[in-house]
Amino acid sequence: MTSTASVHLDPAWTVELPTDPRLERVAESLGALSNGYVGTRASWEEPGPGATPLVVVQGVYAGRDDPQRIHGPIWTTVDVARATEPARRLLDLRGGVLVRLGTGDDPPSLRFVSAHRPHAMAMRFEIGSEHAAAAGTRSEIADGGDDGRRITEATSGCHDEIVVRTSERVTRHGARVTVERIACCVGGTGPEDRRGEATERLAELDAIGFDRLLAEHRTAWARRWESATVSIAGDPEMERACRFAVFHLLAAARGNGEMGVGARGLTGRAYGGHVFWDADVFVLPVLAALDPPAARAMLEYRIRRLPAARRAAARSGRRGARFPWESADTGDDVTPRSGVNAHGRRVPILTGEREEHITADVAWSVCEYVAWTGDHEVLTGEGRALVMDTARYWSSRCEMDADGRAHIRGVIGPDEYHELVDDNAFTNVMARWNLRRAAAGATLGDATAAEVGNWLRLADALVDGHDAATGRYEQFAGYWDLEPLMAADVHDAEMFAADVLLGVERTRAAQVIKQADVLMLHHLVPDEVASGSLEANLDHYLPRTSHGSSLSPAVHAALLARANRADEALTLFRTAARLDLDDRTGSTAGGLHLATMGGTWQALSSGFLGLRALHDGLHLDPHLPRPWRTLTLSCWYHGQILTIRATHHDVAITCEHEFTAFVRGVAGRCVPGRTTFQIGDHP
Amino acid sequence: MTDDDQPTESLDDRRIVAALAPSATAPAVLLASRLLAEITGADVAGVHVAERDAPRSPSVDLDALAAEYGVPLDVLSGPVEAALVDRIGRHGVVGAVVGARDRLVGGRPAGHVALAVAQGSRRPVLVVPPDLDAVSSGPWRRVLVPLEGTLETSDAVLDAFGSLVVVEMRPVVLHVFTPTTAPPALDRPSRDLDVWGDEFLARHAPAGARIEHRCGVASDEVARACHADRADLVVLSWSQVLAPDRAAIVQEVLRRSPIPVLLLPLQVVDAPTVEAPPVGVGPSS
Repeated sequence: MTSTASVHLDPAWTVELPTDPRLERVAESLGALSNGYVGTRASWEEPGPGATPLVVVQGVYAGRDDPQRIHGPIWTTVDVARATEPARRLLDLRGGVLVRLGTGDDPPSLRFVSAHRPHAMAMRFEIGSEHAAAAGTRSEIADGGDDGRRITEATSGCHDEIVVRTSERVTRHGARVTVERIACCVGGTGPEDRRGEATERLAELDAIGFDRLLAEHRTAWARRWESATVSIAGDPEMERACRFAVFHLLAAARGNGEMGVGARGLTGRAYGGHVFWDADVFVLPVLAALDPPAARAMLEYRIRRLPAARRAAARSGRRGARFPWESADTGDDVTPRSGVNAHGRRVPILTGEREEHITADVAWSVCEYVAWTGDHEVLTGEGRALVMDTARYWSSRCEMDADGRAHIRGVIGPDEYHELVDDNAFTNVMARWNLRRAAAGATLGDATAAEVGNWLRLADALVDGHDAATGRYEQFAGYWDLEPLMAADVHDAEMFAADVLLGVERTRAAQVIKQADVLMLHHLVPDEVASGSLEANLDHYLPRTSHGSSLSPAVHAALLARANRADEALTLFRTAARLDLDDRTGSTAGGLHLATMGGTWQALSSGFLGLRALHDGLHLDPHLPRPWRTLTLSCWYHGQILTIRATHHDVAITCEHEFTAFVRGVAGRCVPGRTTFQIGDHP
Repeated sequence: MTDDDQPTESLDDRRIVAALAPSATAPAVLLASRLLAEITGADVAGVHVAERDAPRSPSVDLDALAAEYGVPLDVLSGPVEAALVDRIGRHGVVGAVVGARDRLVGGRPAGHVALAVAQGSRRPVLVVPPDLDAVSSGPWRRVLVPLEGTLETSDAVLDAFGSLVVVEMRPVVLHVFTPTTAPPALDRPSRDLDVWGDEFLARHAPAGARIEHRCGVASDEVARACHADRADLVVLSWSQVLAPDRAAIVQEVLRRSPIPVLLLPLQVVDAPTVEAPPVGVGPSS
């Protein structure tokens, strides 16, 4: 039996959870464990006030008009009184284990959600001297049955949608008690016999035993990290924060079936598990590089909901497919129609009706997945149909004017401070990309030549707000006429909700924006915007951005790095990387911001490394901030693991199979092993 | 050990001091005292401090009025404010009720007696608008609790209100966003406000509370929220220091509120305070 006393924690791979009781719910989110199938928050084993324990299973919802993820039975409770001094809890990122340190000589307690067996969770809880004084206030821990095990089962949901069955052994060592608990979770909404399945699976897990389950789990995590390395020499705090982000991204999905990754993953109650563009634009592309099967499963979630998207398009009088702003199990839009704003007033929520860019975002994610993985097979069958049908949607959404220009009117772009605008640059350019991409990939049977021709004509005709003289894109028609209010005119904080401080009407009439909108084009489709226009749009929009969205800082960090302003990028990068660790938004208690975590990795990869997977190969253009001596990332690319290590002077690529990489635009062959390219000092 | 420091031993010992003056506002004070007594499990003891130059035949017969409400009346002499503060500080007294002003026509700041009692007493003091009997018949269950989200002010409310009230109330926490307290990012505003609000309640509010948000000038928003159709009384913690740049919310609410205002003193001014992490800042390693 592996002694829990032998847990070695490397500070570079360890995040300590807050001990302040008032931050308990934040701690529960930070230390949440999941494996893409089931998630468990890091609540204390001892029951107590203020805790919000949670067990959720991917894709298991209840309710029709506003489906919410069903909360499963809590399997981690141990009926002892809380110790007077809070224990320390540390998240071991490398091993994927939540460690709870006892006092004095007491061995640590461990908890994990298996990265190897999706239904398996386990804990070994040591009841030591910290509880001894309080133990008299609780009943004695029940011993096991004849074979020392105690089996319990609990279910939740109207139809036992989630079953958790546990096997527990209690052993005593003098004054110390060890509770070893193996749990099996089975969830779903179909008619399957989940209780029977949980019984069978738990018996298997029990036979394997805690120590072997833990060893398998650790091995699985070690394997994951081989292709997800993050190493930053010169900035240990950021290195750890980035590893924290990658940890939770890898834990959010698994490569099996379909994965609808909610905005907070499996880490909290917020948003009820609903899926937003966060998944397609900020999580899937990252997992395409770090865990391609998981990314494929995320695509599968959208592909399987293509019929619902077609119905949505038809209902709005359009052709093709229109994806919902908020999605749950059926693929129908589940965006609430109204909500209470910060002023206490109930207001309509229009994003479900009018934030339509998600349709192009989903198509983009398909192509981004293919670019990273080389898995062209996804572009046969329904994956291809998705790209075609989303293009059809845009072709039916455009309105032509008398001058032959195409417009998309009455939408909401990423900047939600300005609603129902015409010709939002992001929406229009993404639609244009979608039309061109579909046209390029169409074959006989997908679309007629006439239809393809129409897509191309519309794409060329779509207004994009670009001013060739300045290089800037007008965010939407009439944006230049708004009050030229800078973010710094409103508040000196780095991030603030302008609509709360200024009021909705004033914000709507001003140029201050919530998050990257035009700049999202440079982030997602830089080849669709005018060459050399990044700098002009950064200079214009960054001072006007309040970063009133958690999605904003990372995107700007990526773009500033790409614009060779890496030192400036670092400030916003730190904000993004530590957003949940510092509970910057005040909402981490509801779950972690997965899109921010994805954006953090994107800032590292496409920003500081200038790493992009394009049609002709892998491109790199590193720009490191001065405090960083090296930046090393590992990732999957076209079926092999690459390790990319950049300094201020060179970039080294380690690979298994030969391939061509473009370093600052110059093609070079990468041979098996390590190939180094000189990049000189900052130009 | 002074009278102030002796613990109240049982519900039987608990008293509310109703500060009565022979004016048309006395019925409001008596009504409020009775309603406050119901939620605190206390008895009401009426106190009138007769001023030397008071009219020999006051317009209101306080003895008869107190008897009508079943409240024993003690008549004291001496400086009004000092005598009241002294009586309120006695063992067994859990709070006091005083009229905001002695005239039915409102819209003025609270009168000097009400302010002196609220500033001078270490007990909770309920300041009653003169026309209370027109708006409330009780029992009181809906309580408005404006909170700014600091440990000092929240704990004052949790501790004092928690030990004062013995029935289950329906607290509504009101938080007015300011440039320093507004959440810096609202990805999906109504949903994020729910999460933010739940967290605020968990850190700062009484059990069973719900929360409402406002934006703007805190004193104005809190005063506006004080409506009889929304709450029976409003609870404010304060430092007991009235100055042009202090206690703006208390002053504005006392001036405008049509519902009684329960003022809870913060801990002794020179006691050490501890900062709690505000919602939105929570460092981890």
